[in-house]
Formats: sequence, C-alpha cells, structure tokens
Amino acid sequence: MLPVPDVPTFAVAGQPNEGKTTVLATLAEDDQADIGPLPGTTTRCVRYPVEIDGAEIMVFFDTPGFQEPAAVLAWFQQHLQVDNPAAAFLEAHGGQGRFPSECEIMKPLAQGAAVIYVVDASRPVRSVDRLELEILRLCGNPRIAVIYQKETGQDYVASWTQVLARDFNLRRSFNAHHATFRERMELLAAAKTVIQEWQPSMEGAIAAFQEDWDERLRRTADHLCGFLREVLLLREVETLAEAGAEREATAQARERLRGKVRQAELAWRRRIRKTFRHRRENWNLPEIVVADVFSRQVWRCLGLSKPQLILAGAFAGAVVGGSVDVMLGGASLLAVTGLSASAGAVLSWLSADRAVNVKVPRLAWGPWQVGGRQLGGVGVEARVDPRSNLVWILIDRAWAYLEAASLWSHGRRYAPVPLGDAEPSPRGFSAGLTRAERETVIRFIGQLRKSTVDPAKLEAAQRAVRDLWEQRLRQRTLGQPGPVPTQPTPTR
Amino acid sequence: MATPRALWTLADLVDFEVLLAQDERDLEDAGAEGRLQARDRALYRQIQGAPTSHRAEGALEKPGRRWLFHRWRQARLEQQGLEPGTSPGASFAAALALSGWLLGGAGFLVGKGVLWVGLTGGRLAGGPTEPVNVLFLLLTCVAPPFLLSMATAYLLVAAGNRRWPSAPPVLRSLFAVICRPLVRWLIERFQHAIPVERRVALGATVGLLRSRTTAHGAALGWPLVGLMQWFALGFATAIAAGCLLSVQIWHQTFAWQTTVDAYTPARVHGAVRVVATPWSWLLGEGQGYPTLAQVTATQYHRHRDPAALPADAASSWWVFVVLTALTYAFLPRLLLLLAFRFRQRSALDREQFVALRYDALYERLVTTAVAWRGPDAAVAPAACDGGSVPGGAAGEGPVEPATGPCVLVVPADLDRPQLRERVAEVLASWKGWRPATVVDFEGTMAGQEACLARVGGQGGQVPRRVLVLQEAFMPPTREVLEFLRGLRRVVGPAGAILVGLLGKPGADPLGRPAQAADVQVWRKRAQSLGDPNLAAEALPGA
Repeated sequence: MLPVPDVPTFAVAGQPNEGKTTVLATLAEDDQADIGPLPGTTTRCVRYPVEIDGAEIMVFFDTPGFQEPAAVLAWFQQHLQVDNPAAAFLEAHGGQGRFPSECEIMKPLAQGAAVIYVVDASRPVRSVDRLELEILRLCGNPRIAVIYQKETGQDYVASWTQVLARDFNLRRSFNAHHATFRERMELLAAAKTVIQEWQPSMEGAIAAFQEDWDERLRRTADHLCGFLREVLLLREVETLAEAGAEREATAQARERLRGKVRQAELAWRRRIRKTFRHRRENWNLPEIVVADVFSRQVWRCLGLSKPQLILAGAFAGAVVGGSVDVMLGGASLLAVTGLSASAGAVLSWLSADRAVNVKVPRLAWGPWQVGGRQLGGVGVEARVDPRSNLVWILIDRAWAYLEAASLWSHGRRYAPVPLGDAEPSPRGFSAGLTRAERETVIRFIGQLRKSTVDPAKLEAAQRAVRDLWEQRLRQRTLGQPGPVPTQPTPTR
Repeated sequence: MATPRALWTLADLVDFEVLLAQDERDLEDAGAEGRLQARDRALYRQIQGAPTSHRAEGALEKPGRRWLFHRWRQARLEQQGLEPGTSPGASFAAALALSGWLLGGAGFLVGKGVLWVGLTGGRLAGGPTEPVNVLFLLLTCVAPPFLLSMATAYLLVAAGNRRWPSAPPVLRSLFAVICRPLVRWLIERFQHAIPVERRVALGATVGLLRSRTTAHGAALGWPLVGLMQWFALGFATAIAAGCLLSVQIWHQTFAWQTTVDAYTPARVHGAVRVVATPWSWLLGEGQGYPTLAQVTATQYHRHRDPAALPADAASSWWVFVVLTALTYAFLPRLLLLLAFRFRQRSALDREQFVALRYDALYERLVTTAVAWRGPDAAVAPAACDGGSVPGGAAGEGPVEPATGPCVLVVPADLDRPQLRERVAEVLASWKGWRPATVVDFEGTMAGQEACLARVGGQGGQVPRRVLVLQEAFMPPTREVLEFLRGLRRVVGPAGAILVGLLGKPGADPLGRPAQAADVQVWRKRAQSLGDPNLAAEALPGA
C-alpha cells in the first residue's frame, strides 16, 4: 500500500531538460532555482516546502530526469507484486551507485507523493517517454500531466494528450515561461482533486495564496502612492555663493533634484522586486523603462499628451477655483472656476516639459551677524513641478515595471519567448486612463501641492489612487476585464 | 607515386593534437566549418602542389594520412608563425627531457641515500672503517632495483601480449575494492557543487584525454612511463658509482656473516658464482668474484674482531660488488629505458591516424571545394561527387579504411517515410559509407540486446562502421551512452561508430536541422566516453 502523506506532496518528474525545474520555480516563485539549457542540471531531489504562518501546507519535489528508463522498467516488471515499488526500488539500489537519478526520483514517490509529469509538447512522443509513463504507472502514485511547449512552431499537443489520456488522472496545459498568478492557481486547483484527503489542505493553501497575492497588490499600490508622494515632496536647496551666481546654483539644484528622483525610482523598484520575490532582474523591460527618466526618448513616448496635460491642468485649476465659488455661494457665477481652469490650462501648457521647477526667492537677508558670521543667505529651491509631465511619466514607467515584476515568471531564464497575454506592454499607462481615473490622480497630486495639507483630504485622495492602482493590477495579473490600453506614441 | 615516409616524433604528435583540438573548438562556432574547409583545402594544394586541372587532381593517388597529417602539421605551425623549437610539441618534449634529467637527479640522490644505508647498516662492528656485510649491501642496494626492473620488464612484455595478464589479480582486486568506491564517493560528493556546464566540459575533457591515450596508445603512454626509468637509472647509477667510489677512494672492504648454519661458505660461494655468471667468462674466479678460500676467510663471526679478517680476502669482494651493481641494478634499467624508447618509436611508426575523429580533417584536406557563384554571391562549398571522396572506386589505389559498407541502426521511433533512403543518399556523399545492413531497435532492454546481437552477428564478420541515428532534441541519457558502450564491445576497438543526429520532424525525411546547442551537448557526452572512434555529428541536410 502506498502511504498517503498528511501534507499534499508533489514530485515533478519527466525527461532530462524537459522543464521540470522551470515549472517548479514558477510555482514556488523561486528565481534562484538552478535552471540551465543543458540536460542534467538537476542531479538531486530538491524539496520545496510551502509554509503558511510557519506551518508546512504543501511540499514539492524537483527531481532529476530519468537516465535509464528501459533498465528501470525491466526491474519494475520483474517486481510487479511489490506493494510499494518505488520503496522496493530504493531498497534494492539506493546507495549502491546504480541508477542514481532514478533513486532520487523514487525518494518522494516512495513516500506517496503525487506525480506532476512535465512534457514538452513542442517535440513528438518517443518510446522513452512511454517507458517513463509505464514506470510511473507501475509505481501507482496519483499522476497529473503538465503539458507545455518550450518552442513555438511545432505542436504535438494532440499526440501527447492521446498518450497521456490513458494513464493520467489529470492533464493541464501550463506554460511555465509565462504563467500568471491566475494560471498557477488554476494548476493547483486542478491538482487538489488527485487525492481526496488533500482537498481541504489544498483549498486552504490556494485561499492563502490568493490572500497573499491580494496583500501584495495592496502593498504595491501603497508603495506607488508613497513613491509619488516622495517625489512630489522632494526639495533641493542650493545657497548662492555670491550675487549673480543664480544660474550656476539653479543648474546644480536642478541636477541634484533629478538625481534624487532617479534614486527614489530605483529604491521603489527594489521594493517592488522584493514584493514579488524577484532576486534577479532578467526581464524584458521596454527601453523607455530602462532609459534615464529625464531622457528625450522617454519624454517623447510616455506621460500624457499635450492636450491631455492641458485638460489635466484645467481640471486642477477648476478644482481650486470651484472651492472659492462654493465659498462665495455661487455669487461669482463660477467665474473663479472658469478663470482658474484657464489659468491651470495655460500653466500646464507652459510647464509641460519642465520637470523641475526652480525658484529663486527675492528674499534678501539683512547684514545681521552673530558671532561675526553672516546669518542666512540667498538660496534657490528646486522642486518637482506637479504640472509637468514628469509625474505621469513616472507613473507610466512604474506601471511598466510593475507589469514586468508581477507577470514575469520566476522560472523564465533564457531565450526570448513570444509575446503572450502575460507580456508587459510598453504602452503609456496614464494615456490610457479614463478621464475619471486621471482626475483621481490629479486630486492626489493637488493635495500634495498644497502648502497646508489637510490630512483627511490627503488620505482620502491617496486611498482613491491606491484603490485605482490596486484594481488595475488585479485586472492585469488576474485576467479580469479592464480598459484596453492605448499604444504609446510620441506626444511631442 | 608512392607516398613518402613521414617520421613522426612525440613533439609532432602533440603539435598535431593541439592543432586538431583548436579546430574542434572552433567548430563549435556555426560558421567555422566553411572557414576550416577553405583553409585546409588551400593547405592541401600547397602541400601537394596545385595540379593543372581538376581531372589531373582526380587521377592522382590520394596521399596517406600519416604523411599528409605530418605535412599539415608543419604547414599549420608555419601559418601560426611558430619557430621550430617553440611549438607546443617541442615545449612538451623539452619539458619531458628536463623532467627526465630532474628525475634522474632525484633518483641519484635517493640511490646515494640508500647506498649510505647499505654501507652504514652493513658494517660488521659498527665502526666506519670496518668491513661491510656484502650480503646486506647487495640485498639492500641491488636486489630491490633488480626485482623492480624485472617487474617493469614483465609489464613491458605483458602490455604487448594480450595473453599475459598485465597486472596481478591482487592489484586489480585492491583497485576494485578501494579505489573505485573512493572515486565514486568523491564524484558524488563534489559533482553537485560544480555547475552543470563545467561538469559536462570536465567530462568531455577527461574523455578526450582517454580517447587520445587509447588512439595513440603506446606513442603517448610510453614516454610518460619511460620517464620513470630515468629515476630508476639515476638510482642504479648512484649504487654502482657509489660502490666503485667507496672501493677506489675509501678502500672499503667486504665480508659476510649469517647465523643460519645452512649457509656454509661453500654454498655462499656457489651463489656468488651463479650471480657472477654474466661476467665470469671474462673475469673468472679470483678476479671477477672471490674464490672459495676468500669467501671462507671473510666469513665474520660475532665476538671476533673484524680487523682480524685477512685484508686481501676482504678486498677480494670489491670487483664482485661493483660488477653486481652494474649488471643487476644499472644495466637492466638502461636496457629498459632503451626498450621504452624503442616501443615508443615503433608505436609512432605504426600510427596511421585511422580513428574516426581524424576523418573530418582528412576529408577537409582531400575533398575538392566546389562553390556556386550566383547573383546572391552565396558561396556554398560542397564535396564534388565521385573522384574526390576518399577511397575512390575499387582498383584505383589503396582503399581507405574510412569508407565502405556500414551497419545502420535506426530507433523504432524514427519511422519517417523514406528516411533510410535519404540517409543512404546523404551518407554516400558525406562519408562514403554505404548502409549494407539496417538494424531496428526498440528502446526496451530486450530491444537493445537484440539490436546489439544483430549488429555483432553480421555473418561472423565484425562490422567496421556503424551509424546510429538519434534525434538531437532528445538528451543523451546514461542509457544511450551505455548502448554505445555495448556497441563498442560488439564492434571492437577499431570499428567506427558515428551517432548521426537529426532534428525535429519536418518536410524532409531527415527532419529540420538539429539545433547547434543540442549537437554540442551530444558531442560533449560522446567525447566523455573517451572513445577515439566514436563521434556524434549532425547529418548534413538535416
């Protein structure tokens, strides 16, 4: 009798270099797993436990490929009456140096692990595959087949399905190279049916994964809000060394502030990588995400278009003017709103391309001295211009980076994979926002611009923006329907 | 025109292997094959002298590999601008010679040490001027090197004679019980710490060294074994010279003693006479070895003053001692060194370079390059059909061992229509092989055994060439490599085994081109088997 482990246990098996470790790395979100293009990369059974609150709820085993299936099958066929063939095989050959790969494969099977058999449907079925299938059948463990295609252009899914239908309880297509979170959960949900006793554990595990994912999306949205807030509140002061040195001081302040914006973006990206458990950054990022945020190329492609920016400015102005009209009780006949909107539009148009605003205050300090030293001085202050396109550009880049981080499969290492639904798209995210969504963002920016911040309003605006991004991320990563994004076109 | 003789030296062989290894590394690059083809063909024409026409070239007898490779080696070194004496082979030979001298010096020092032990330990009463026990001296300083020389001579003869076991069963058992499990444990312990790319490369390198040693056998192996003779020769020189010096300069005298009553002076004298047989015809009793009276007079008894031994009798042993050292310690080693040199020379003279891995170079050299120059200016060198394929038709000259009938092994999976015909067509122009027998094989154990039995039972004749078709996208597992080892046992060490790699199924019966990365993996795994007559290559046209 095969033992049934208390905890759902799965052994991933298959031919050498078939993609077993890739599947496991994707499921376990481990981008440090040893994946290589050469067969024989995995030589030992590697255990991947899944824990929730410190308790092990699921275990996966990565195994080496079968190296001598014909000889192993011959042995199995001579020992058909054994209750636990995998355990008997281990007893006969473990530690003898014979069949080292197969002994590693049999270790989890002897403990009753269910088998996830990975096949590459971009190649035809071969006799060695049939030998392996027969071995697994004789082992008697529950079996799930995972079908995926390492290469495009060749499709043998039909023949594989036919071969696998005979001996496998379950068959799933699963592309480990670009599986989304939703697809991973679907695979686990399918796997929960192989052993009835495992169903509650698996359901609990899937619910926990979902909760964890939701929490990550929330955290990501929070990080994004925090990032924008940090950037908009950045301030760089450069004291004038002498009268007439404004130009030099302005340039220095501007450059230092730009450096701070870059640093803030990098730090934010590190947080995102950590949130999505990426220790490598080997993604196919679009050029405009990798390039310097202040480069011409980026400014041409990302952010809002001029008309959109003007409208955004007009809206921002109208919000400010509207509050005055409300205070006047409508007596101004919305004139203030109109004037503010126009002013906002004009200012936005003027400052569209200016990322950093540098103020040179006309404040002159008197000749007061304390202890022989001149007090104070004239300084220039550089801040990010909230009316400029920089904020929207940062949002676009952040979104593209988020897509890559949340959608890039941890098992993906080599060779370009054709674009699929899960591929990050180099489109302008903010340009694709609806008007209402854009206004949500504008309100948030507006609150941050105020010299005296109303905490309640700021919080409300931040929550609205966070909810917006969380919803968008959920749509993108879980495949829920959302607005169709537009292609990025140079806006200037 | 008879092919001139080429005198290969060890340095030449090393140079040749180094150059070949460079080319094999270059071939890992996809575009290198055409480049090497053009280069070697140009070298061939330079070596042979350009004929007046292609017909004239076709009529010429193809030169033998031995001579051609020798000239190729020379031309390649000149191409690389290497001065004679600075090539890798020359450096290797120089290093070998230096090692020999160093080992000889080390042996000399060790011999001096052992002689000192013999002389000091053999003193009858402990004093520095006392006679030395000749039995102890000879047992310490002459008997061990003599026995080792005999053992070495046995191994030397056994190596050339398959009926003689080359190592005693005890040694073999010791190796099996101790060394093999230790090596296996070391591999298991450390292989996981090494990235797979390095493991594969290491396996390929080790296999390559083994295949070189197997291919060249004595030519590469004997120089290294012969190197140890220098140590032994230095040792023996120290013994012989030391004995002579101790006698000539320090007036060392000898006597003998024993507590065994059976060793009477007569018996000892008899033994001495036997030992002195090699020179007794020249230097008889009393000259080349002591007389019975002298032997009797020099028997030492404890409690007796060694100074009481008759001086002339004590001195009478010295010729015998020196000649014994020369004859039984020094001379055998000198003869062994000469024998190893002779073995190496004859191995080099026997080397014909017919192993499979040399085929590619030979084909590149002798195959006429044909290029189509169309509007696209794409140059596609291809072999000219007929005359330039090595071997030619029967009766036109010496038949090259690399062409002829072969056994085609086809896995049951490869049931593509017209595959066999297509393979035969490609094989003829590519290797000059002709599938005379086709053997199918199933992937099961029974299927593999049946296949090996069929390959081996070709009407009582061992097949000289076997082509095994495999799909490159299926990884070379241990089972496949075991099958190839089984084929080797059936075919014998000299037979050529070629793994022909195909790509995924396609319009052509040979399928799509095999991916370069897959072919590389197969090549390295094949190399790791250390079999010089086994290769894995993508079928052209696949």
